[in-house]
Amino acid sequence: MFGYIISRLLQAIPILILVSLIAFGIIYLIPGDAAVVIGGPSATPEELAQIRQNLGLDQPLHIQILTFYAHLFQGDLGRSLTLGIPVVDALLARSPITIGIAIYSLVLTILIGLSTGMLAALNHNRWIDQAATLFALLGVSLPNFWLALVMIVLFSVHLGWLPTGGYVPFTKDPIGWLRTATLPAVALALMQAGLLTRITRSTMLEVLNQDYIRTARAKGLPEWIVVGRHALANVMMPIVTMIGLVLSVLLSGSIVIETIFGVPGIGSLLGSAISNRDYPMIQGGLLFVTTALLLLNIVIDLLYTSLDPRIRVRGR
Amino acid sequence: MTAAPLLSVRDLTVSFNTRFTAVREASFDVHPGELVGVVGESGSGKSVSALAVMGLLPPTAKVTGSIHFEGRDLLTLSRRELRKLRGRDIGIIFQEPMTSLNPVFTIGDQITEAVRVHDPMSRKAAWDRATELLEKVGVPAPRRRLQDYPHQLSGGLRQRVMIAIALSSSPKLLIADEPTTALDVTIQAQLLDLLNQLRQDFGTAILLITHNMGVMAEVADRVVVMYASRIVEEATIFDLFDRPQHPYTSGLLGSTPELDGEAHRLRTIAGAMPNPAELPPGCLFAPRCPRAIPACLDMQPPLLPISPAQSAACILAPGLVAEGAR
Amino acid sequence: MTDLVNEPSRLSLALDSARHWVKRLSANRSFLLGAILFGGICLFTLAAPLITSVDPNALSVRNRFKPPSELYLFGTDNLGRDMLSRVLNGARLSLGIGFAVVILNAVFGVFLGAIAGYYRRLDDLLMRIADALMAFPAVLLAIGIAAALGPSAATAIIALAVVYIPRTARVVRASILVARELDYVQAARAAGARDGRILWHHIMPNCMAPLIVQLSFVFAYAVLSEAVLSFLGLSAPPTVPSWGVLIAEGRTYLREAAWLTVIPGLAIAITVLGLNLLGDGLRDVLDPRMKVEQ
Repeated sequence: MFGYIISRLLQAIPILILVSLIAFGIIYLIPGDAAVVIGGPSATPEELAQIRQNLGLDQPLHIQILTFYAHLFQGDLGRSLTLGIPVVDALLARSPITIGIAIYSLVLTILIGLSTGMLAALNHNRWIDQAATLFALLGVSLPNFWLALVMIVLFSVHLGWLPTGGYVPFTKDPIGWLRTATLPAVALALMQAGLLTRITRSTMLEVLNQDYIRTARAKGLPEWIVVGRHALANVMMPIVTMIGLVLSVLLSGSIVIETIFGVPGIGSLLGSAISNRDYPMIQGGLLFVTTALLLLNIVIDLLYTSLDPRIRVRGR
Repeated sequence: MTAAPLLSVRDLTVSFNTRFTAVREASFDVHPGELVGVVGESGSGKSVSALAVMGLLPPTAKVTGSIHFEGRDLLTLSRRELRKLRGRDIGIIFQEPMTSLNPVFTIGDQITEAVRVHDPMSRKAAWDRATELLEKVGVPAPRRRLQDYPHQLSGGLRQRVMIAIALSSSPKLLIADEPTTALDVTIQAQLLDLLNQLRQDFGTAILLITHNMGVMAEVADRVVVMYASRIVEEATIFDLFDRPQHPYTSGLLGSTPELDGEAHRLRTIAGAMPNPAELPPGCLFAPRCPRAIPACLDMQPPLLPISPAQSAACILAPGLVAEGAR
Repeated sequence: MTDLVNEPSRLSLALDSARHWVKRLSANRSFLLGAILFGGICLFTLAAPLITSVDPNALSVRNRFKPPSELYLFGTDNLGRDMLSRVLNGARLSLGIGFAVVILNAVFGVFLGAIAGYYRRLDDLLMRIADALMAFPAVLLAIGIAAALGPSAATAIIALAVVYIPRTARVVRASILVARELDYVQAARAAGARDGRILWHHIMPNCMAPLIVQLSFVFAYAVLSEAVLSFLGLSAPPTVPSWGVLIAEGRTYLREAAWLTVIPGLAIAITVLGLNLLGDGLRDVLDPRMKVEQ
């Protein structure tokens, strides 16, 4: 198992190098003189020189790359142009908020996706199945930022159940956190839940046709154990592998969703970085989120390996 | 044979939609402690009959006739009553030991679950019972095996585990649906010995489904021959081998692979089973029958007794000829 | 299967199979519904000048915030501009960007997929780069690229193309890897056919089904992601408002004029739903074993 972890980490290194190179290259996509774009039309030549020096744009390319990696290995992603603090500090300070909402949303996603998908498969070709399929399709088809706005109109403006935005830290007031985090989490969850519903449904249909389900019924087990234990345990396997993808889409969505709800997480941090042309922040955020996801995928992989006895025993 | 039968199937018909009928008007009995074989090519309706007895057919299946088990008609039982009967009074072993066990649970989990569902007991007691069961079906080092997952076991061992599960509540009837087909010949012989042993030790009646006449000769008391959804002959094993009455049975006997593994396919039956969607008129076997006469195309002969222990569904069978003359 | 078929029979075979697929597709409910929804949206987009002659940017201070009515089918916005005209004209941009992304995906996806899958040169390098690009959350990478390039429609097209081409190339590569092992392809190679001919005449036809399915999903993702980009102000300028821009503009007046937000969102939803249904139907009929490449 230990050897497997090591080899899995080693496999990730080339990808990590390429990912960081792509993130590094983003700044070279800026058309014309990056310093002029960043400084704006009113910038004086001295200011432009200052920007070039800060970003290392006055150095030859290979020096820039070497400096980039040298800083990267020390955990330095540069300094935010607008906040004036290191990018890493800004990202780390905001991450707990985004992680909290992401976990909340992931739990909702799995609960909704799994139950709807199972319900659809168990009622194959009946109206419940059709309704669940429609729900799943709408989930992957609706823009989630639009869904967020519609939910604000419905639940905040008309019904007045939840605040239209803002954020209360969990540690200060759990109820307040729940009130402010619910709409963003639901808006993020509904889209992924559609995806998960589709996968759960098709996997469940496949599993229900397996010989071991017939064996379970032949034992005289009640149907809820056949489905809830024998089928579910096998459905969970592909679901676990989906978690990485779900989180990836979730973090993409958090830029817009956090901006809309005024949640001060990584998403809104990047959202304002985009409108302020704070390129080191955009670059750093991209690299930070992607690296976190890559590492998370390794963890999920290991989790999967330890869940599935067929792989687990072989790896031992 | 005078005692009440344990299982009594009458006029069992199973259809999956208006066009496809898998079993037609099948009637047969299984007495306590008896080993009855059902033989036929794949698609002849033998496995569907077995699943009908277990109540494991998909909900799309339409089942008519009656299946009496210890006097109760299984087709009229509620789902709940049927479920309680399954596994406790009737056990089943399937053809595919490789896929019939749940890959994510240990062997021990899957046996104790079967034990406890019909006989609530402590985890510990169920575990002991599972060890006992594995010992009984001849699995070496049973304690250690209980910790294993299905993929760690060979096909033969997995089938033994399936038998252990089927026997967990000492059922009165064990249905074995092609239990040896997927296994190699030496393991086949061992498993057949095991089934025989169980029958002698516990008086379990067995309904053995196979397409292999050699297997039948080894263990069966009585044999039911099925062809294209119908029972075409029923006889004791000796009558069947000595005096087969239906040409299809004769054909099967001509193409019996021996248990030593060398298939002696001296004569095989020419042609293939009719497409269930376009059945020929008259006797279903007529198109392939070497002895067919024009009258065979007129009607499907019913299964009629030739002697007290033998029936056949062929107008050429001597008993039937005699009856027709009367 | 191992014989090399001659040209005329190839043509008649192709016609036969086309007829066969049309029949199968028209029997697929998902495909039909998707075709109706997406076809309807395309029709309205193309016929926009016939439906309304109102200038999408004509201001009318007198008619601010008119809710949907007979006169203003979709209502008016904060500057009194006719939303029906704005939504219909915005469609051209939203669908146009999506279509451009699809074309780029088809061209570069096939090109890169063929280099990696058939010639196997650069296969490792290309696939590692694809892996790296796919490691980024899709929309996040598009946002990053668009933020650097500066807001314009071309920006949105390039950013979304970069994000989805690796996924398309992977699909093409995978089906080429399968197709090149087919008997008749091996036979053509043994008969001394040139690489280009083998690739175009024998291998590519086998990749069409998964490619078409993939492209219909790329179209759906592109429309959805373009909306996010334009909502963030990273797509086309607000003079020709795409649907995402309309939602962003309407957001300010969410309380008093919810229709400004709801209607363009519904337009996106119907388009993407239609494309997803279309893709599902195509996959069921053309390529039943293919899984969605996210």
